Amino acid sequence: MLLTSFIDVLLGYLSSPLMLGLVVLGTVLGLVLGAIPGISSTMALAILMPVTFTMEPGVAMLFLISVFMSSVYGGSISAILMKLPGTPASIFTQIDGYPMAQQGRAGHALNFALVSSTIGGMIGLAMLVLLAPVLAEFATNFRSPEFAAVALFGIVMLSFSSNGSTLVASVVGFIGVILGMVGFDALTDAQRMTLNTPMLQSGLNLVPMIIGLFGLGEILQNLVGFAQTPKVRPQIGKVMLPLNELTSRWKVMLRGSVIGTFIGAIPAAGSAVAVSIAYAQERRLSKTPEKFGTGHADGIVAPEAANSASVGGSLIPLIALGVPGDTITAVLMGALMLHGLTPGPLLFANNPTFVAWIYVSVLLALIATLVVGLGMIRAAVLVTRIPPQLMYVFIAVFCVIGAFAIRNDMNDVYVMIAFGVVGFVFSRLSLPVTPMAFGLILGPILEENLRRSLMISRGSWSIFLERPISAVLILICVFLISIPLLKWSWVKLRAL
Amino acid sequence: MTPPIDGSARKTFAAGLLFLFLAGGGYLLLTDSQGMYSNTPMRGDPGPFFLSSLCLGCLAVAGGILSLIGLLGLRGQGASFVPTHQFIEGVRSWGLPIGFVVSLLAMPTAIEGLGTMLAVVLFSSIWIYVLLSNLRGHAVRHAIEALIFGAGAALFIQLIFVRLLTLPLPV
Amino acid sequence: MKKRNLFTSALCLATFAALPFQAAFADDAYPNKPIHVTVVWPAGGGHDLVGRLIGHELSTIMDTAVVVDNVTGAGGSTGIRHIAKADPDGYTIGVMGLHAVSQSFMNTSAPQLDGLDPLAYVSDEPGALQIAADTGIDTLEAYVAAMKEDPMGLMNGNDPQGGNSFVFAEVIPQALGTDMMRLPYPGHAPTVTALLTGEVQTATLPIPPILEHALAGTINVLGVASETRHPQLPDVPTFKEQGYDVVVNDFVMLVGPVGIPTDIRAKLEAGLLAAVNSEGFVAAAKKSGMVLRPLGATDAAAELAMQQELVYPLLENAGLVAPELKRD
Repeated sequence: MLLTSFIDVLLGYLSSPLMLGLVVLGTVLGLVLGAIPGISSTMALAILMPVTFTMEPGVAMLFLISVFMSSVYGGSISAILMKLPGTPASIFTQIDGYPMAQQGRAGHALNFALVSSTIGGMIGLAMLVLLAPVLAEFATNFRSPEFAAVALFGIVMLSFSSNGSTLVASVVGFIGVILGMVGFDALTDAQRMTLNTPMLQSGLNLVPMIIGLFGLGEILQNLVGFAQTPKVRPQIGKVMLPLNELTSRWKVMLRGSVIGTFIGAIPAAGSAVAVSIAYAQERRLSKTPEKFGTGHADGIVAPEAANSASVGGSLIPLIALGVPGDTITAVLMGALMLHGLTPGPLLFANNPTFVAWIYVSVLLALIATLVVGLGMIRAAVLVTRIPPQLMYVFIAVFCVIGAFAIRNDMNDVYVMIAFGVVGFVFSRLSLPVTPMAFGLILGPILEENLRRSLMISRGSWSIFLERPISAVLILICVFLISIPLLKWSWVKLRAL
Repeated sequence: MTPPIDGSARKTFAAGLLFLFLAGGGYLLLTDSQGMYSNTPMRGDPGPFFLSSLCLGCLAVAGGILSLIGLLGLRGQGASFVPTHQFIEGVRSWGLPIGFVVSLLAMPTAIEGLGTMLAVVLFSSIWIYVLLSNLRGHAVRHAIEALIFGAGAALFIQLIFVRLLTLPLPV
Repeated sequence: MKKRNLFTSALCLATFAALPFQAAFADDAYPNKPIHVTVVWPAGGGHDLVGRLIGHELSTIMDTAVVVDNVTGAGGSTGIRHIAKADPDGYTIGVMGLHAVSQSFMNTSAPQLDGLDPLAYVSDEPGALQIAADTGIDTLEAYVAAMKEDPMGLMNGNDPQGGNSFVFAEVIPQALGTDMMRLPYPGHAPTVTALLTGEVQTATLPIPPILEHALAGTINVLGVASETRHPQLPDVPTFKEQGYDVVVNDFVMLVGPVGIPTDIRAKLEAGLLAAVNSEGFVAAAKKSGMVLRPLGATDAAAELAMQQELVYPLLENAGLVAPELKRD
C-alpha cells in the first residue's frame, strides 16, 4: 500500500542525518538562487543537476525537489522586495506583496507568502497521496477541447483580477494574447508578426516580459521627478506575524490549494493557470475587492497556496502517465533519465517505493523551506533598506542579466527594455499590466488547442459543447461575462 | 457616461488612441506575415491568423470606443491646456527615465564590445552618480562612492552569473 | 554603518572573484577554460540529456569543466545561430539534429548549415509507427487494412511541419500506400500524452519518448524504419522485414562553428568520440532508447550531406521549402 511505504520511507529519511543535511543544503541553495533576480526555478534545477551525477537516484530526487520547492519561494522574495517576479505565480504575489513591503510590512508579506505556500503544498501533497487515482482519471479526461476551455476560462477570470474597468482589463489581456503569437505558430510553419527577423522569430518569452513590465517599469516610474519626491525608506517593522492573521485566512488558503491541485493536475496547464484562477476567484469572492493590489494579505495568500499546491498536482501526469506536466517536471524527468531511470508506467508500477520517495521528498522540502525561510526573512527584509539610488541601478542590472540568462539570448534584453517602457506607459495611463502577462501565457494554450479541436471535428464548433467538461467550463464563462450585463440591466429596470 | 479609466477623460482618450495604434501596428505586422505564408491550413483549422485577427479586431473596436468616450468627456469638460511652465517641468522630470532607457538600450552592445564586467561597472557607476547628484548635488565624494558600488555590482554579476552559473556572457 | 558593511562585502566578493582568474591563466594548452555545449531545446528533453551526459564524460576526459547552455527559441534556429556565430576557439560546441536541416530549407532567416562544422556523429533516431494498445491493433498488416478501409479512422499525432515525427509521418504512409490524418502537437511529450489519453490513436515518434510505454504494453510499436531492429525492442520487426521499403531517421550529432584551428579541432573530435564511446554514456543512452553509431568528423559531415539530400525533396513535396531557398 502506498501509504505504508510512504511512512516507511519518511521514517528512513528522517533517521538519516545525511538525508536531512542534504534537504537543508538543497533548500538553502534553492532559496538563495531563487531569490537572486533573474534565476528561475528551472535554471536553479538545471544548474545544480551536475551536482547530483554521483548520487543515488532517490537521493538526487530528494536534493533536486528541495532545490525546486525552495526556489519557488525564493522567487517570491524578489517579487515582494524588488517587484521582480521570476515565475508566473509570483506575478500575483508581487501585486499585493510589493505595496505591502513599501508600507514597511515586508516581513509580513514574506511570512504570508511562506506560510501559505507551505500549507498549500501540504494540501496539494495530501490530495496527491490520497486521491492520485481520482485526479489521474480527471486529468486524462482532458483533451484539446478541454484545454481550450480551461484557457478561455482563465482569460475570462483575468478580467476580474484587477481593479478598474473589466473591459479595459480584457482588452489588455487580448494584447497579451496577440503578443503570445509572435514567432512561429505551434501547429504550422507559419511565422506571425516576425518581419522575418531572427529576434522576433524567437517569440516573446514570459520572463523578460514580466521583469520588464514590473521591475523596470517600476524603476522608470520612480525616476520621474526623482529629485523632487522625498525619499522615505520603508521601515522594517515587525517581522513576525500574529498567528490570528494567518488562521483567519484558512478559507482563502483552502480554496487556493484545491484550485491549485486540480488545475495543476491537468497536463500542460500548470501553475500559471492555477494561480491566475485562484487569485481572480478570491478577488471576486472578496467583500473588499478594491483592497486587492494595495497590499492586501488575501492577494498573497491565494496565489501562493495555489502555486504550491499545483506542484502536487503537476506530479500526477508524471506518476500516472509517465509524461511531464510542465517545464519543471520535465526537468525533474530529465534528471531521472540522467540517472538511467525513465519515468513511465513501468517505473512507477514496478517501484511503488519510488513514488513514495517523491512524495516524501516533497514533504521534507516543504518543511525545510518553511524552517529555513523563516530564518532568512529577517535578513531578506534588509534589502528594503538599501537607498533608492543604489537599488534602482542594481535592479536594472539584474533585469538585463536575468533577461539574457533565461534563454542565453541578447535579444531578450531588448524585449525586457521594451516591456519596461510598456509597463511605464501603461501605469502612467492607469492601465493594468497583469492581464497582459497572463494573456501571453494563456493565449498560446487557447489557440493551439482551439485549432487542434477544430481539426479533429473537421471545423465543427459544436465539439466544445459535446464534451461535458468543456461544455460546463464554457457555460461558466458565459455566465461570468453576463453577470455584469444582468446587474446593469437590473439596475436600469429598477430605475424605471 | 463616465470615462472608464480613473474617471479621467484625458487618460481614457490616450488609452483609446494607444489601443488603436497597437491594433494598427499589429495589423500591419500580421499582413506582412500573411504575405509570407504560402501553405494551406489543414481541414477544419481556422488557420494561424484567425485568433490574432480576432483579437486585433477586438482591440481596435475597444480602442475606438474608449477614444470616443474620452473625446466626449474632454469636450464636456471643455479643453483645458496645461500651462507652459508646468508642461516644461513635466518634460524635464521625464529626462531621467528616458536617459535610463537609452543607456539600457546600449547595454547589450556594451556587454558584447567591452565585456560584461566593464559594461556593468560603467552603467552602474554612471547612474549611481547621476542619481546621487540629483539628490545631493555634485561632489567628488559621490563619484567615488558610485565607482565603488558600480564595481561591487560588476563583481557580484561576475561571481554569480559568470563564474558560478557559467552563463555564456561575453567576458 | 550600513555603508561600511556593504563596502566590506564588496571587498570580500572582489577577492572571491579574483581567485579563479589566476587558475585560468596558468595554462595555455587547450582546454584551459570551461567548454560550453549548446542545446537548442529546453532542459529536460532528449537533446538536453545527450548534451549533459556527453558533457559529464567530456569533462573527465578533457579535464575541464563542461557546461550546458540551453539556447532555445524559433524552432531551434536561435541555438544553431548561437553555435555558428560563436568564436571558433573550441570552447563552444552544440548538439544538433534533423530540425536544423529542415529549418535551413524552410526559414529564410535560419542559419545555413555551411556555417557549422560537424565534429562527431552520435546516434541514429529511426522513425517508427506506434499505435495505442486499446485500439486492439497490434500488427502492421491489421493497421494497413484498417487505414485502407477508413483513411480517417485513426488519427496520427506528430510534430508541426519540419519536426522529425512530421517527416516520418510523411514518409511512412507513402511507403505503406495509405493516407493519414496528421494532427500537430508542439513537441514529443504532448504527442505521447495525446496518444495515452486517446486523442490520437497512432504516432510516428522515434523510439526514446515511447520506449517505456512500449515496454509496459500501453503502446504497440508496429514497425521501425531502419535497416536493423531496434536494440531495445528486439521483438518489433522493421518495415523492411514486413515488405515495405522505408528507412528514415533523425540523428544526433555534435557540431561547432566553422574555423576551429586544426589542432584544437582534432583534440576536440578525439575527446568527443571518447565521450560518446565511454561506458557511462553508452549505458545511459542505450537505456533511454538511443541507437548509438559513433562516427568521426569526416563521416559526420557525409551523414549531414546525405540527410540534406533526403529531406529537401520531402519538404519540397509538402510545399514547405521557402521560395528563396528553392534549388533550381
